[in-house]
Amino acid sequence: MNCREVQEQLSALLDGELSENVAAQVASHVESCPDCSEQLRVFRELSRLATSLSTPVASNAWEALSSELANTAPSSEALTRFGIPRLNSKWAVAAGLLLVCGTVGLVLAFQSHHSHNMAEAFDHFLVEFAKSPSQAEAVLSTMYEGQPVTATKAERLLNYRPAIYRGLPPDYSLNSAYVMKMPCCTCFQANLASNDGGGIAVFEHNGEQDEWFGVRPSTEVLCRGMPTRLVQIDSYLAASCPCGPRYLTIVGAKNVEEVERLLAFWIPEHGP
Amino acid sequence: MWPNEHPNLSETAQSSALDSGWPPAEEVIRTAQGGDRQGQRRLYDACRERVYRLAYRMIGPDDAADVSQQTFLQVFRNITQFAGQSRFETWLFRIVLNECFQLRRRRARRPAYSLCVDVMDHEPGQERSTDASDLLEMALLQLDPDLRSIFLLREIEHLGYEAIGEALGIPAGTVASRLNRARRELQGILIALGWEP
Repeated sequence: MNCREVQEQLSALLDGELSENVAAQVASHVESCPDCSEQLRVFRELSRLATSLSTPVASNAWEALSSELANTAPSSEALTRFGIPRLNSKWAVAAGLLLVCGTVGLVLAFQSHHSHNMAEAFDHFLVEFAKSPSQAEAVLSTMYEGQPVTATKAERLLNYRPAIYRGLPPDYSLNSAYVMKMPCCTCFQANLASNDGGGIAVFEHNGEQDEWFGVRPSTEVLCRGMPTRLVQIDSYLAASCPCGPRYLTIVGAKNVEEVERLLAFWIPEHGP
Repeated sequence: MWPNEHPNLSETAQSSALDSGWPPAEEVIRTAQGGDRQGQRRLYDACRERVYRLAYRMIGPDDAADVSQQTFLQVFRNITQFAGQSRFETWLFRIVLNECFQLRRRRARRPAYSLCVDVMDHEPGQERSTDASDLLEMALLQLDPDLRSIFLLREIEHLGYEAIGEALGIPAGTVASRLNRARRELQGILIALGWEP
C-alpha cells in the first residue's frame, strides 16, 4: 500500500471499520511511515477533542409539543414510495411541498440497487455541479468512459436519438454531450448553457435512478401528466421523469418554472 | 426484525445520564406508534437530549429548540411508517438532519450563528487564549453541513459506518470516504484557527 491508499483508509482504521486483513496492512504501513503516522495521530486528537465538547441540555418542551400534536390531525394521506402524496396541482405548490414534505421524504430510506461507487460518483457530480457544470461533467465522464458525441454518434452508440436533439428551448445552447457507460445503463448526458449564464445537465437513461440523489429532500409531482421527481440540491433543483421508454433527468434548474419550461420542451403532454 | 444490540451506541449510552432511556426500547416505540400520549411522552423523554444535541451542533443554539420541536412533530405524525427495518436511532437522526437542512435552505447563506463572524475576525494570537473545544465548535460551523453531519454522527453519537449510512441514505463505503474528508477539512479549518494538534 502506498501513502495515498493508506491515508484514504485512516478514518476507517481509527474507527475499527476495516477488515482484519486490511487493518493489518494499513497499520503496518503507518508504523513505518512518519507522514501517515502523524495524520493518524491528528485524527485521534480530533476524536479526543470531540469528546471535550460541552453537552447542550434540552429544555423540556413536551407540553407545547403535546398541545401542537393535539391540534393537528395525524397525516392520513396514502404515502407513495417516497412518502409523499402525488400531486395533481400546479408546480408552484410543488415548490412549497419540497419544504413541507421534505422531512416525510426522508422517513423512508432510498434503497440503492447499484454499486456504492455509483452513488458516490453522482454525489460528487452534484457537489461539483454547483461550482462548475463542465468540471462536474468531467467527473462522470472520467469515471464512466465518457465519449464526446454528436447527434449521429450518440444515436449510433445508444440506438436511439436523445431527446435534446429534437431541439433546445429558446435561450439555451448545447455546450457538450457525452455517452457514458454508467452502472445503471449506457447513459446520455449533455451540458446546456442558458443565456443568463446558468448551466443545465440533461441525462437520458433507462429506468428511475433514485440513488443518484441520495438522501436529498424530494417530492413527486405531475408534470404534463407524468410523475416527476423534484429534488432540492442546495441552491438548485433537479427533476426526473419518464420520457418515452426512457427517463429524462435535468440538473441545475434555478426554480420550478425553469424545470417546467425545460421538461415541457422535450416531453409531450400526457394525460389530463 | 428489531435490533436489540447497538454496540456502537453503548459507549455514548454509558457516557450520559441525561438520556438513560437511549436507545428507546421496542416496547416504548410500539406504544408511541399506537398513538398513546403517555407512550409518546416516554419516547420523547428518551430521545429529546439526543435530538437537541444533534440539532445544536448542526444548526447552532438559536434554532436547536425549534428544530427539535419540528423533529418530534414529524416523528409522531409519521411514526406508524417506522417498520423497524432500520434502527430507530438512525430513522430519528435522519429526520433531525433533514429538519436542519430544510431550515438551512430557508435561511440560505445566513451564518448559523455569530461565532462564524468571530472566527472570520479573529486576530493571530487571539486563538491561543481560546479553548480547543471552542475552536472545534467554531470549526464545525465552518465545515460543509454534509460533512459535519457525518462527523457528528460518528464522533458525538458514536454510530458505526453502517448506521451512519442508514441515517444518511448512503452506502457505508461512502461514509468512510466522506468521514475521511470531513476529518481532513476539519483539521485544516482548526489549524487555520490556531489549533496545534
